[in-house]
Amino acid sequence: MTGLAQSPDARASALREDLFDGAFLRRIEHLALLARRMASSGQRAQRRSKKIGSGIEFADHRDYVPGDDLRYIDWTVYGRTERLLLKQYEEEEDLSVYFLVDRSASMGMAPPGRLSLFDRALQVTAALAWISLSNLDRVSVVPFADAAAPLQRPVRGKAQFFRILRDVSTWQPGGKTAVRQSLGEFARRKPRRGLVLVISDFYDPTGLADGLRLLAHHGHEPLVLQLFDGAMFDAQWWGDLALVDVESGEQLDVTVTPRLMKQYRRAFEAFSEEIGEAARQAGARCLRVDVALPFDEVVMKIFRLGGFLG
Amino acid sequence: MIAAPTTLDAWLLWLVGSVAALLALYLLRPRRRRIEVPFGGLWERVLTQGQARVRGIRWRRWLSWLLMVCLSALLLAVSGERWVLGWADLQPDPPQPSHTVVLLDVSASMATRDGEAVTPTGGLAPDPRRPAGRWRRMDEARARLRQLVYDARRGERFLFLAASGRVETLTGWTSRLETLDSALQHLTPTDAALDLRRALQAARDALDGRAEPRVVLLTDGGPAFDGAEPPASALASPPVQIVGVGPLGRAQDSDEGTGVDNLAVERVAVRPSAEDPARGQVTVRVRNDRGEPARAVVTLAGRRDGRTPADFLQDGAALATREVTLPATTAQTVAFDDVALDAQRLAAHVRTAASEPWADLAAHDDVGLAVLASRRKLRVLLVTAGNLFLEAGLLANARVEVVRKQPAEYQPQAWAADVRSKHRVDVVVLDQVDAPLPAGMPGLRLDLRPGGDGPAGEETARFPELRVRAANHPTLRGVGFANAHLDVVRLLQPEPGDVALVSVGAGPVMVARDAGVRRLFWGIDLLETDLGGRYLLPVLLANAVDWLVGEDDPLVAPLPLGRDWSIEVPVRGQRWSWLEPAAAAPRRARVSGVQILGASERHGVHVWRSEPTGVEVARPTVVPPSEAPGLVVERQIDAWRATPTDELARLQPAPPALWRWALFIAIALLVLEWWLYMRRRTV
Repeated sequence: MTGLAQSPDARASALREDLFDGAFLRRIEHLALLARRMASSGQRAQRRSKKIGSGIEFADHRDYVPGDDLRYIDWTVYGRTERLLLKQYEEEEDLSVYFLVDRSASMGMAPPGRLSLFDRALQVTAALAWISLSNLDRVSVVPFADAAAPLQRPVRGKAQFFRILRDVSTWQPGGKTAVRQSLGEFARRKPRRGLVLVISDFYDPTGLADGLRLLAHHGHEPLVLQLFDGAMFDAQWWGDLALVDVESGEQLDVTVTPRLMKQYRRAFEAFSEEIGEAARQAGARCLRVDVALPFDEVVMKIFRLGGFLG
Repeated sequence: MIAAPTTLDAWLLWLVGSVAALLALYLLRPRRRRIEVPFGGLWERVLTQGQARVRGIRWRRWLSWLLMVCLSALLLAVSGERWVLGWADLQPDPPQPSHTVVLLDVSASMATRDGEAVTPTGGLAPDPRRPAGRWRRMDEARARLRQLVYDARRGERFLFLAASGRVETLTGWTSRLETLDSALQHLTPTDAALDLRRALQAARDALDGRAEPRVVLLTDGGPAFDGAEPPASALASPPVQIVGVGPLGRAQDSDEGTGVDNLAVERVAVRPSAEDPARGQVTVRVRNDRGEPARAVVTLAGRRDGRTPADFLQDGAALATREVTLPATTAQTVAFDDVALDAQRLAAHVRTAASEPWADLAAHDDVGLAVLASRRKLRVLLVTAGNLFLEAGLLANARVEVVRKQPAEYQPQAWAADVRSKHRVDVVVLDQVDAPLPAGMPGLRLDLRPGGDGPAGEETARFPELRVRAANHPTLRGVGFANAHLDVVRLLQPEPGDVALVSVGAGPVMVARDAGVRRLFWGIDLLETDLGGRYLLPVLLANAVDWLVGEDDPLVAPLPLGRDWSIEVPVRGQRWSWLEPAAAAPRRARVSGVQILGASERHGVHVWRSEPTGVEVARPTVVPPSEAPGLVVERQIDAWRATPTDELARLQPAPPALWRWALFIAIALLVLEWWLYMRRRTV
């Protein structure tokens, strides 16, 4: 393993030091060890693609059609049933892991002295990307807001980790959240099928369900990570306020009372339930994460949720 | 010159202040704090779900908003009133126009300069062209008039009339201040007195059929109604509001009046000498209105052709001059003895002595005029059996022509109809005749016998001592009965209304009766006395004849300025035309039967001449007592406190104290509401 913690400063000179300092790098290396230990304890360490191809492991039969390679006809079955069936094998290839990170304006909001959702999303992405690269997976990190950014060529190998960090360090939050449109654009670019980790607050009036269904339809395995800041329920602003949507700019005159804040918390719970229900309907796993938690705890939660490590 | 602040200015200040306060509160009102949230949709969802719960909050918001609206409306109503409502045209219908006739007293006393200068609050500043420290009542009236129009409510229309003895229309119906200004620019007081009856009648005529009629009278004196206070009914419909100018508006506020610096000639009287009717005594009654004794110079002047007061003040006209000390606030008679009366027209002028440091304020009453009556021939019908003493006594008077008749020729019934016209007899004298005096004829009856139409009684008195009972009667002027010897007199029994002139211990012996026709009764037989040999008898008879024909006063009756008068023409059937003084013709002068009717506005001797005979009638004018300047309060008093009646108060839109308190409370509530808004953290 490349000594990530041995020379982090020299390599991370172009990185955001407030996010990716030496301590951060040491902690994600520790997380990678934990991930390998969990895999050796019975779980599969590597994921296989489900592509049918020229592998060595039998996968299935299908009917023969003229033009098929005669070498793959299962003559044993023909002898018993007089049907021409073709043997199919799983094509073994590297797993593609896509990180779709929401960089909309709402993700950039943060109370003074604390990390924003966007910052925490970058930290989680970096940690998971390191683990994926350690597993020799192909990793691609794609930001999105009102549209998904162009798909970069997936990278492989730990040596590409700092490239990813440099890339994400240049991102700035801004724009509206358009999850459905962004996921649709991502899917239409036909990347290799793989694990798609969508990290966002999902503050999109159009919802999440359609976007996830598109991903599933294109053969991806979506994993939803909803970030939120629990401190917003402890806001100290009361009275007559003009609440301005940071993305749309729309103003809402509200008299904020403690009772109204409780209602707001309940509304957020209902909103999160809707996110989870949309994920379940799309066959995806969903995890809701408070950014007040340390990022390594967030990563461990993802591990426990399953799916990421196999 | 900085004009005094007017009522409008005060209103404007209130309005601007209120608007500024509202604006300041609006600007200070806190805005909603802007808070950025990541997802407004979530809050909308909350509000939608909790709509029922926030209904109470919405109601409170509405109530707060309504309170603000009410307070603002109250502020506007209080501060703006007719201004705001008028400008915004919020009233559904235009106000009903009201009509006000303003009668401005321009009588002589309005030329008086009062005490210290008084500027009506909110009115005009004193005219800088006027002498400093003194302000004429006319100027004060002008300022009040302008203020009246300035403060008039919307839709009020005015008609301005100048009233003295006559009524002059100054403007048409108007609400424009400029129109009034141009009308008042050259208006000056007249010499006449105010004829209130005529002025009110003119006002009623102008208001006939008009909506909301009203009369406002600006005057300085007690509104004379033919010399008396006007009856309440005369001021009731249309309602008449009297706005006092000068002392009328101020004297009632204080009892510290000290008088006005004014000297006046009240009356000029002449008493011809009994011995020489061409000379006589002239008495001048001079009044000092000042609160202190005053040294005054009284000048008596005479000119045969004098017409105006200025004619008598020219060099060469003065007959005599006296310097006198006049007591404070009283009148005193100054006598000039042995004055030649051949000038026929006299004038008395009073002025302050050179040693006096003060100035006479009113000039219109400084001159008094007198015209000696012309003496015509009188025909006396003497009916007597023979009495040389009586005939000689009558003929001693050069004016008297005696027609003698015997008692047998005397036929009173037959003569009654034409004794005056046919025989041209002015007086009938019956001496010891058993027949009545002709009906309608003045006459003297000397009779000792009871019966007849005289008051002769049954009793007589011998060797009586005569005692004068009515020394001021014209028939006894210059007459004394001392050392008179009478053998016998008959006591008379006077009727009610008779005047006992001379009596003895038991009763009257000489009686005067004036029951439309003048009569004299003497219970005396001249042949039984020694009066015939005394100088007393011709004087007594001359006085009697003058009194009987109504010419006992040597002066012709004066014409009161500004009042209607009538003059009996001496010659009938003539065409009479007014002659003097120039540019001061009496108005409405006309001949009606034996009367010349008219009214005079200028002080002077007014002369009429007949055509073709050339007979002249001359009458002097006199300033009526109602035009006296009156008392003045020296201390400073706000002139607008004068006559604060309800109607006048309606003209002055100054807000009462209650409204100001309401305004203060409204502002306080507004501030309180704002403070509560600031304090409101939860709803």
